[in-house]
Amino acid sequence: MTTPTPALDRLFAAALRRVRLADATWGLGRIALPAALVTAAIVLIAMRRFGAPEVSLWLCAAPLPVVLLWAALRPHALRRVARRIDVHFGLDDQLGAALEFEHAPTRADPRTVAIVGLVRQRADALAQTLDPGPAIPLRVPPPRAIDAALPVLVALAWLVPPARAEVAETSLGAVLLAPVQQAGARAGLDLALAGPLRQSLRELTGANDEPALAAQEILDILDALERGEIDRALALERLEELEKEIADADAELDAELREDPAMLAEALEELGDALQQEQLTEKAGDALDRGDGDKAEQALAEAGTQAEAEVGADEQMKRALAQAEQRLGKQADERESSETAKALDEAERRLRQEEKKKPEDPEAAAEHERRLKQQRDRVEELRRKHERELATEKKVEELRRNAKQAAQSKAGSAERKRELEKLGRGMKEASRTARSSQRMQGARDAVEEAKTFVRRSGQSGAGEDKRKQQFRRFDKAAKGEGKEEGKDGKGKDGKGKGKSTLMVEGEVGEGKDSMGQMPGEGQDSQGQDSQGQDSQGQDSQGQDSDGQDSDGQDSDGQGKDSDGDGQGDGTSQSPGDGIGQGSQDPLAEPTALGAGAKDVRVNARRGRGVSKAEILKDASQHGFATEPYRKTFEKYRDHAQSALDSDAFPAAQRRLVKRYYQMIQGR
Amino acid sequence: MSTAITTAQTHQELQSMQHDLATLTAEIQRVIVGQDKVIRSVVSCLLAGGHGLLEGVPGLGKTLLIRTLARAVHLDFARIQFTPDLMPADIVGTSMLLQTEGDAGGRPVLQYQPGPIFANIVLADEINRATPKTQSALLEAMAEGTVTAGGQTRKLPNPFLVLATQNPLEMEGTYPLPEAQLDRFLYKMHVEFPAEDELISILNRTTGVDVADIKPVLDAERVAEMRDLVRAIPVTDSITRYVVQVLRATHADDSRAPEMIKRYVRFGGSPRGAQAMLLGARIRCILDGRMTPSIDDVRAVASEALRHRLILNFEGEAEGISIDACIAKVLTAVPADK
Repeated sequence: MTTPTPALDRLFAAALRRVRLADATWGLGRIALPAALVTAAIVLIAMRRFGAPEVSLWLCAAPLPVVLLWAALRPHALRRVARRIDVHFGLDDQLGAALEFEHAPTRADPRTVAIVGLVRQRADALAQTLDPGPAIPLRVPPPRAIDAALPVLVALAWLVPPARAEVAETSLGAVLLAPVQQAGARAGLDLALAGPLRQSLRELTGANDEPALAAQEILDILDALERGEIDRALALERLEELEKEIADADAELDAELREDPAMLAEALEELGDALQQEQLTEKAGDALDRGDGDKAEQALAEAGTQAEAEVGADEQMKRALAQAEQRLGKQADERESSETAKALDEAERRLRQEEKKKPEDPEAAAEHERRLKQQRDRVEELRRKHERELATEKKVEELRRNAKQAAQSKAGSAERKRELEKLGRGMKEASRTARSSQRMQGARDAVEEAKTFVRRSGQSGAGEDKRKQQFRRFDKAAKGEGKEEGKDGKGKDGKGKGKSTLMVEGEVGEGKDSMGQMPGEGQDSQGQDSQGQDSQGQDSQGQDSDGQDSDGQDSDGQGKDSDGDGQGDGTSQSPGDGIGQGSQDPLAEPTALGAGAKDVRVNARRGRGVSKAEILKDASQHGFATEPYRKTFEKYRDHAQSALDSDAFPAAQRRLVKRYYQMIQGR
Repeated sequence: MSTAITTAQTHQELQSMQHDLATLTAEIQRVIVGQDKVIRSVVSCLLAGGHGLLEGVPGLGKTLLIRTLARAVHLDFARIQFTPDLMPADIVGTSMLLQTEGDAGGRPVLQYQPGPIFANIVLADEINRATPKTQSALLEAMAEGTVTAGGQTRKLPNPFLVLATQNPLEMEGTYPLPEAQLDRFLYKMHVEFPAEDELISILNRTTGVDVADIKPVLDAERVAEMRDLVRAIPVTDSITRYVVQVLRATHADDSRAPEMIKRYVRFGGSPRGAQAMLLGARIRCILDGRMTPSIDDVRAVASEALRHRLILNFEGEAEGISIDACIAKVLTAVPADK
C-alpha cells in the first residue's frame, strides 16, 4: 500500500512549474531575444534590398511563442527535480527516494516495506516546510559578447541602403503595357460599342420580311463574333454575302415600287401630325407616326364610328380631316416644282446634246458611248424617280381629296363612310410602301454599319499593336537602352530643355514619335489634337477634319446625315475635362475623375433619311479637350513633384514616377 | 494492521540500532582518539559481516582500535601477529599428538587444536608481513566462514570478522596480498596520521595513570539483529544503478570510464566491490540517522570499497598514480541525475 504524500505531490508540482518558468526565463534571454534580433536584421535587409513587406517584421516575434511553447512542453524528469531540491536543502536524497519508492514494486520483506513507508512519511513531512523557489532559481542568462553584437547587427541592417528601383523600372513596361495587353487580348471582340446598331437591328426584327431576316442574321453574326466563334474575316464575308442578298431584294422592291417612299413618308407624317391635333383621331395619328398603317386605318374607322354617335366627336373629325387636307395640299404645292423634274430636264438636255455630238475617232467614239450610256442611265434614273414622285403626288392628292370629301360629307352618311374607308386604306397602303422601303434601307444601312464596325474593330487591334510598340520603346528608354534614339529626338525637336526640373531630366524615346498617338485612335485620328502645343496650333485643322467626317457621310447622296437636322433633346451630361479635383495630400487617395463616365443617348429628330447612332468612346481625345496638354502636364507634374518631396513617399517608387513623367511630357 | 505494527516496530528498531551504534562508537572513541572515519568503517564491517583491511604506518592505533572494538561488542577476540615465519597451521590450527588417559590406556592420540582463527573477531596484525602462503590460509575462513584442516572442515563462530592491518607496501619486509584475498575484504581503510590536537589527546591518555575501561555495549546476538536490519534497508533503483555504473566505470573498457581509468587501470572492481558499496551505503545512512541511502552515501564509501580492488597497469604504477584519484575521477564522470 502506497503511503499518501499530498504535501510531497504539491511540492513537486510547484517545483515543476518553477522549472518551466526558469526554462522560459532562460530561453527568452538566451534564445528568443538573440533570435529576434537576428531575425530583425534579416527582415530589415530583406525589406530594404528585396522589398519584403513590412508585415514580415512580425517574424521577429516568432521566437517568443516558440520558446514559451518549448518551456511549457519540454519534458522534465521529476526525479531530477527532486534531486535538485534534495541537494539544495541537504536532504540526502530523501525526497527523491520517496518519489522513487512510490513507483517501485512492493518489497517482499515487511520491514523493508515499513521503512519505505517511513521514508515517504518523512519526505512528506519535510515537503510541508519546503519552498522550491530557492532550489530552482530563475535562470537569467548573463550577457555575452554576442548579445552586445546583435543590436549592432540590427543597426547595421537598418543602415543598409535601399535597393535601386530596378524592380520598379523593370515593371514600368509591364505597368504601361498591362492595359494595352488587356485591350489587345480582346481586340476585335469588344462589341460593346455596337449597342446602337444592335438596337436598330432588334427594331427591324419581329416581322416576316427580308429586312427582318437580314437583321436577325446580322445580330447572329455579331453575337458569334463576340463569343469568338468566328473571326473578323469570316464575319465580313458573311456580311458581304448578306449585303448582296439585301441588294437583290432592294432591287426587286425598287422595281415594284410606283411611289417614292420617302415622299410618302413625309406625306404620312404630315397626315399623322394633322390627325394628332384632335383627340378623336390622335390614335390614328400616332399609329401613322409609328408607320403602322393597319392600326392607323383601324383607329380612323373607330373614330368615324364615334363621330357618328357624338356631335362633338364629329366636329373633331371634321377639324382633323380639314387639317389633314390642308397639310397634304400644302405639301403638294411645295412639290410642284420639284428638283427631280428640273434635274430630269437638265439631264435630257445634256443627253440630247451628247447625242448630237459626232465623235471623230474611235477613242472619242468609245468615250462618247460611255458618256451617252451614263447620261441615259442618269436620265432613266431621274425619269423613274420623277415618275415615282408623280405617282406619289397623285397618291397624296388622292388622300387629300378623300380627307376633304370626308370632312365635307355629313356625319353618318354613306359618303363619309366611303371616304373615310378610302382614306384609311390609302393611309395603310402608303404606310406599308414607305415602311417596306424604310426597312429595306435600314437593313442595308445596318449591314453596312456592321461591316464598318467589324472592320474598325480590326483597325482598333492594329492601333493597339502600334500602341504596344510605342510603350515598348518607352520601356527600353526607361531602362536606358534607347539612349541614341532619345538623343535624336532631342536634337530634332529641340524641346525639353526649357523647363528642366527634378521631374524632367531629359528626353525619353524617339523624337519623332509623339505621345499624340494615343491608344484608341483609328486611321483618321488626329494625332496632333492630343499633343498639347501642336494641338493648339492646329485647332482649325481639327475642326475641319470633324466637318469632313460629316461631309463624308453626306457625300454619299443618300441623305443619311442626321447631324444637320437632328437636335439633341436628351439630358446630356458634360463629360468633364478629364482632370481630377486634386488633393492637399499628395499621397492621399486618388480623387475620382469626372470624365464623363455616364453614357448619354441623344434622341434625334428623324428626317427623310435613316437616323444613325454612334458611341463616341474617346471623344475627349478628339476635340473635346479644353486645356492644352502642356499646361495640364505641368499641373500634374508639379503635383507629383510635391508628392516626391514628401518623406512619406516610398523611395523605391520615386524613380518610377520620375520616369513616367519624363515619358509623358510634351515636346 | 500488521503492516502498521511492523512499521512502528521497525521504526523503533531503527532508532534502537542507531542508539546502540552511537553508544558503540562513543565507547570506542573513549580509547581511540580521532580516526572517526576509520571507526565508522570498522563498525560498518562489523554490521555488514565483511572483513576490513586497515593500512597505515606502525603506531597509529590500528591494533588498539580493533581490540577496543572486540571488547566493546563482547565477542571472542584473537590476535595473530603475522611474521615471515608464520605458518598456515599457526592460524587455522593443527592436529597434535596428545597423551591420553583412562580407557585409552595412555596411548598418544592425534587431536585437532584450533588456531587463533576460531574467534569472532580476528586481528590479523601486519598481515602483509607473512608470506603469501600463510596469507592464503585466511582465504577459506574469510570467504566461507569455515576452516579445513586434517581433512576436516570446521565452521567458524558467528559472527566472524577478520580485521587485518598492514603496513604500506613500500615498507621493507612486506609481501603484497594476493588479489583474490584482497577482494574478500569489504573495506580497505587508510589510517591517517593524527592531527596535532589528536596527538595531544593521545599523549594525555596513554602516558598518564588513567586507563580507559571499555565496557561491552553489544553482544553477538545484537550484532546479528543489526546485520539483519541493515539488509532490510530499502535502496532505490537509481542508487543501485548508480553503484553499478560506478563499478563499471572502473573498467577501462566501459564507455563511462574516464580517461584516467582507461589509461592507468588494468583491472577494475569486481562485483564484490558493488556489494561493498551498496552495503556500506546502507550502513552509512543508518549511522547518520537516515532510513535509505543516497548517492552521497555511495560516493562516501566508494573509495574504501574499491581501492583494494582496482589494479593499476605498469604505466599507472610507474607514474605513481593514486587509486583514490582514479576512483574520484570515476565518481566525477558518472552522473548522478539518472
